[in-house]
Amino acid sequence: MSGDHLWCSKRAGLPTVTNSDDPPAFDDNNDRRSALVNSDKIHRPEPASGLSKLTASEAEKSISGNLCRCTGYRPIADVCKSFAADVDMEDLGLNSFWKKDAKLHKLPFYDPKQLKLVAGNTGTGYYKETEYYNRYIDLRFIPDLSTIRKTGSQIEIGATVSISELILALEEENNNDLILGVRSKVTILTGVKKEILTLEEFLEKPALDSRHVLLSVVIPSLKPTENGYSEHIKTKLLFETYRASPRPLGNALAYLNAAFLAEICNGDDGVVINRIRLAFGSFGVKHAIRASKVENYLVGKKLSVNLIYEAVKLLRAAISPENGTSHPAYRSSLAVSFLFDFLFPIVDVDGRLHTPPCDYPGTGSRLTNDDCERMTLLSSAKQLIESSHENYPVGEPVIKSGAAIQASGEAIYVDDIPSPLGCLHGAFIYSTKPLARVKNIKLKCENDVNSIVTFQDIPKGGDNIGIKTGFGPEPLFCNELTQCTGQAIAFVVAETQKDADVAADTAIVDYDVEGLEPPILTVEQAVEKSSFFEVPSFLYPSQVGEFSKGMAESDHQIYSVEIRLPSQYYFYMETQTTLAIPDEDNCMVVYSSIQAPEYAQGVIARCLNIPEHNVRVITRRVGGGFGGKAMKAMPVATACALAAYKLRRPVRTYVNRKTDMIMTAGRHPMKINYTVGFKSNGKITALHLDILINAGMSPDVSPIIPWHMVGSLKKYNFGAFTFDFKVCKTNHSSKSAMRAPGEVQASFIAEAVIEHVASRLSLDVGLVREMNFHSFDSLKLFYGNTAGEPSEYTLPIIWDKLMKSSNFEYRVEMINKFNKNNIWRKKGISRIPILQDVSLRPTPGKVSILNDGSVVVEVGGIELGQGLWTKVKQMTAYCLSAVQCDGVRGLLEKVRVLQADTLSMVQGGLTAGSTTSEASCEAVRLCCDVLVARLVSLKEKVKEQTGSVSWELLIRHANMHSVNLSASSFFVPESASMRYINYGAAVSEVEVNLLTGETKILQTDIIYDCGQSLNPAVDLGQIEGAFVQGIGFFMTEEYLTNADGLLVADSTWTYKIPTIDTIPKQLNVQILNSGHHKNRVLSSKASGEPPLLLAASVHCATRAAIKEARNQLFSWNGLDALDSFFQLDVPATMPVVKTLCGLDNVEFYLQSLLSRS
Amino acid sequence: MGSLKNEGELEESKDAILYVNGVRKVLSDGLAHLTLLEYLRDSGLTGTKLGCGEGGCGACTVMVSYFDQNSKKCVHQAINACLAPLYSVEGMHVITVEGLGNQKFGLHPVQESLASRHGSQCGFCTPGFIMSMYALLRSNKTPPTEEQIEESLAGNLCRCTGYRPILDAFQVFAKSNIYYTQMVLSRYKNLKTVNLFALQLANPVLVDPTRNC
Repeated sequence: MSGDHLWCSKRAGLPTVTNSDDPPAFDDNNDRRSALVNSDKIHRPEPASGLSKLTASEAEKSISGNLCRCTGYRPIADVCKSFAADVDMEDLGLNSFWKKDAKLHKLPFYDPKQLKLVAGNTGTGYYKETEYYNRYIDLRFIPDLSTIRKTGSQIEIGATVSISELILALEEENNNDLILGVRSKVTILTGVKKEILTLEEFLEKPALDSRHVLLSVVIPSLKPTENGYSEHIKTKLLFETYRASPRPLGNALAYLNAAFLAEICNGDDGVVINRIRLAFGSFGVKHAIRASKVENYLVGKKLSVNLIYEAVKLLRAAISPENGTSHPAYRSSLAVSFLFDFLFPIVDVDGRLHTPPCDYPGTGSRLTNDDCERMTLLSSAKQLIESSHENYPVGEPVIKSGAAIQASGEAIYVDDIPSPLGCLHGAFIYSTKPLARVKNIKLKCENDVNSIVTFQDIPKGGDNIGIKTGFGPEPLFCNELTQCTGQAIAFVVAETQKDADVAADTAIVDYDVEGLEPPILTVEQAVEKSSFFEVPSFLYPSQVGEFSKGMAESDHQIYSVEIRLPSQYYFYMETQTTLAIPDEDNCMVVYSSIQAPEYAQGVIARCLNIPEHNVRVITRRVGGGFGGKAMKAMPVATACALAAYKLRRPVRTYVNRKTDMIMTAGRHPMKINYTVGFKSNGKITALHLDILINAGMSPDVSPIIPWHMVGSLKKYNFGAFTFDFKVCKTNHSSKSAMRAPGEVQASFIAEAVIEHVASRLSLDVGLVREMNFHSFDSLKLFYGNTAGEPSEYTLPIIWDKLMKSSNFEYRVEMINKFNKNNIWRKKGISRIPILQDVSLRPTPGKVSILNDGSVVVEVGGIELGQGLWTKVKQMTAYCLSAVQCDGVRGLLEKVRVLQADTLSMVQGGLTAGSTTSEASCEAVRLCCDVLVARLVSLKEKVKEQTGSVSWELLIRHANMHSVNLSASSFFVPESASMRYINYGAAVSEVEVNLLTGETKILQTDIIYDCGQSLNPAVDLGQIEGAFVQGIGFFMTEEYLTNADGLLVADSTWTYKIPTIDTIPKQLNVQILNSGHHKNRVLSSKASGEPPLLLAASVHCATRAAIKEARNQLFSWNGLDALDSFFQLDVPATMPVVKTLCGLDNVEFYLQSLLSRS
Repeated sequence: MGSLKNEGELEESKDAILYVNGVRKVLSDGLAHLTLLEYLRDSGLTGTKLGCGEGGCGACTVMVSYFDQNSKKCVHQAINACLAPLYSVEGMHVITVEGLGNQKFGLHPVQESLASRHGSQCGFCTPGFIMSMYALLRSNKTPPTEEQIEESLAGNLCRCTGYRPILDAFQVFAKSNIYYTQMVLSRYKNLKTVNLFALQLANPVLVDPTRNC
């Protein structure tokens, strides 16, 4: 990374960020200070005089907790900007490399326009480069900059020392000396002059220009007798660091960091603060600051509750993030929380030194630390699967097909296919305006661009089409008028992907909105203008009962309560990608990462005006789909095909993450209004919902969302259940199906209603859930034939089983106890059921046996990582083994599933809706039955001759007798049994930190009914993976847009999917084998989507914990009235949770203490 | 590539050298605009994936090894190849997922453990996780703690598995799992020999910078 990037941040007024990779060099300083100040912790045994007790591993933890570790190269303070020297650059051979014996004084004049100074270059991760340098100077090998020098009284850290090196150095240092970062100094080189500044002076200075070099940071060691600190026995040094960020360990920008150092004196009449330093960073200011006003206020005073109260009031005013910073009030409240956490444990209410019972390890909060026991960072887990062996190898936990080559990196994804000769690369230019005329597109770097493809390049007779669904098409490119932000305007084609990306990124689009209506950006505006997509009547779900009658039966009513649910981005790891190769005779071969190759084939043919048999779409594997590569992969494939068609050269693209996030969009946001009537015992008698779905600019599959939603809403017996859906057409990017589309929202809405009812009646929410459970009769009434047989309604069994297996009652008791004993941490627990109905679709299959007895299989379904190929292989081996010759148990090894190819297997359809694996298996079963029938009589004949028949021998004979060894099928599910319901339940326990709003997921227990699982290992992976994706939706993934609807959370920096440290500390999953299901494929049930709904349990548990916090806040007079019900937004991020717990809960607590005394 | 010079000559050489999976590569001038990831993928080593291009997902994780002049020690580090300028790893040894093991010569225990414990679904993040874990094992003289394992994976994103099976697959390398660790380490030695031997047959290498570390 280079200095100029760093300083750009300062000039541009971007908030400084601490734990980010490079940008936060300022806060680095801040953090470094915190990490380096190996100070005494107040609650540990007294060290020998003059020694600190912080151990190396704590230092490491402290650093890792505060900083991201993108690369081990990350320089500590690479703020270097220039090297003033008169050496010619060419002398040094700087064209590419830095000589290893380089000396600082030999560096050339630094011209930031020509070259870039780098140490780790990790800064480009945050500050994206749009220009590429041809010369880099690597600073890591300059001894002056890259060493750590320790002398008796100080440690000097060179500016390019990496964090990991520093950690190592500190480990060697161990705990000999107290290193006091707060008094550190910065050395700057200007010309030949060295200048030494204190850190504060340095931070106050304007950005360094290209004549200055930051050389090092010097941190003095502090021995209490040197540096003026008294060795008096009653004097203590306290030090603590704090950080609040969306991820405990993983890559995330902090909301606020703090480091505090205090010298206190325990006198006869109480604790007095001799000195104190309070530093804050990363909260939306240009650089870290000291809260001097607060410091001055505190110094020399006796610590008391009142003093702390006055100090936090001052502090709240002092911490004011700059305009435009997100969650400013939350960030200020964090500063208050941290200072409170630092000072409060020192005093008890009487103002005496307070000695807690145990030692607090690690850094960070004391008040909210775990009960003197370190919560292990690690997740532990228990998985229970019940295999059945009757259909061997179906039902076995067979290792996923392709796992080995994925682990070795040999598996080939679309972007791994070598480029054909003459291949070009494309990148999309998308609209940043919701509704505007595109007047002109100007490319900044025209020389690097081969061609620019727009709707005008569509061949005569072809359509401007990028997506087709049953509900209507979506254009490939906008015409003159863009319909939403993120809509494709053009496709830039260049020699390399980088050139194409830069050209697209730097293109300037001229918009004109004159005379245009304002865009429709909210569902309310859509209603006002009656801007809707029609839901075909056969897809409009049917209502149950009469609402007015149900309301008349009720004792209580809740009228018209609003819930808003946001979008969620797919975040597959492999972004959208395609390689299109023109072939002879007007044909096109397209390698696409897509869940629906057949659809892409149709769209490409329509766009290019060629017959579909000229378009071969090939999909081997997809690097994650989740619905995002069903419809949304089509325009990417079509744009490449169109460019290849126009230029008669191969064209490929690998869409960069930002463009992918903006163009692909995600789940449907919606606004819900509910009115509910219920009896005093909690039984709901009537529910009415008004739901406005924001579908965006084109229908995509949005008109089917109401159908999906109602399927999961009906999980409870609401008595009368009515609804009104509007699928709103707006000037947003078109939303598409994402894993459990509509269902996850619906399941959440049902729980929100239940929670509200329970809260209104002050009943246990679990009882209200049970009160509204379906009997089989009501299930039948709500779902009709989809309900299946009474024995298939396994939810009551699951519910009870989970109660026991999760030790629910005992834990509720423990949680109540915990909540009584803890002020700043509250726990919550929730158990929720889920129902999701799924539907099978027609699917083709083809099985062929080769001369040596090996088998190839083709199916309609695509391998997305969901284990479809593995299940298909197992099914093939099982079904062919019905021929009952020797060696059939080894058949699994002989089966290979081929990549999808739209000209080899037609009617492949769409891989979605959780049922494609079983449907593909059923199609294969039909093929195998035909083959077995052809082989059985031959086998008997051969057996008579030879006594025993091996598979290979049988196949040789079959070939000799000209038996047709290939069979194809088209599985069409029977309409009476094509739909069925999946059941599961989850218990989640969380702990909320009332000071920061952080939610820790302590434990989740899941039981899920897979029927007789085709492969329990694969299904387990689906259950856990879906559940964690659901956690993302409910807890962490904030889909933020600007006023025009343009996604601004458009990177890994701003959009936070769950990481290894956000998942439940303990995750126990049990797959229920519910036995025989006569209408299911070998009695199996789906697992792909329904478990995602279970993540609502985490949200409900969080709500329960917040409820405890609010009861407490009420007791401190922090709430005007105890409104027992509150809405907890989705996602329940830290600011959301903290806001509900009380942004000023610390002040109210202190006030309550003051009023008591 | 693989020219047979003696060590002294190598040091005199003005060529920029890079080792990739034990193979010596000469870097020409004018490649300053390339990232290590682009270079690797352009060379056909496509096991290392591009997931975000901003150091935020870990799909491009590789291990670099070099001799640190300051500490006089060999250093092994996991880095995000999408951010590293190609020339920044000059003189170093880059190990990618292909350098650990493959179907033909056998998987490395880290690869095998992840595959056999269902730690991959779509598989796109898999090489990154494997390289993070591998670098942790290489940079530690003793088996890592479970906490270290979890921390070393905090920069890797996976959207399919929910992480539990990945953690499980790698816990076998933790300190607390002594029996298994010993078994793995003995296998690891054998495999390493096989792999390096195979690589050397294909591409004669004089200097393996990691060998004496």
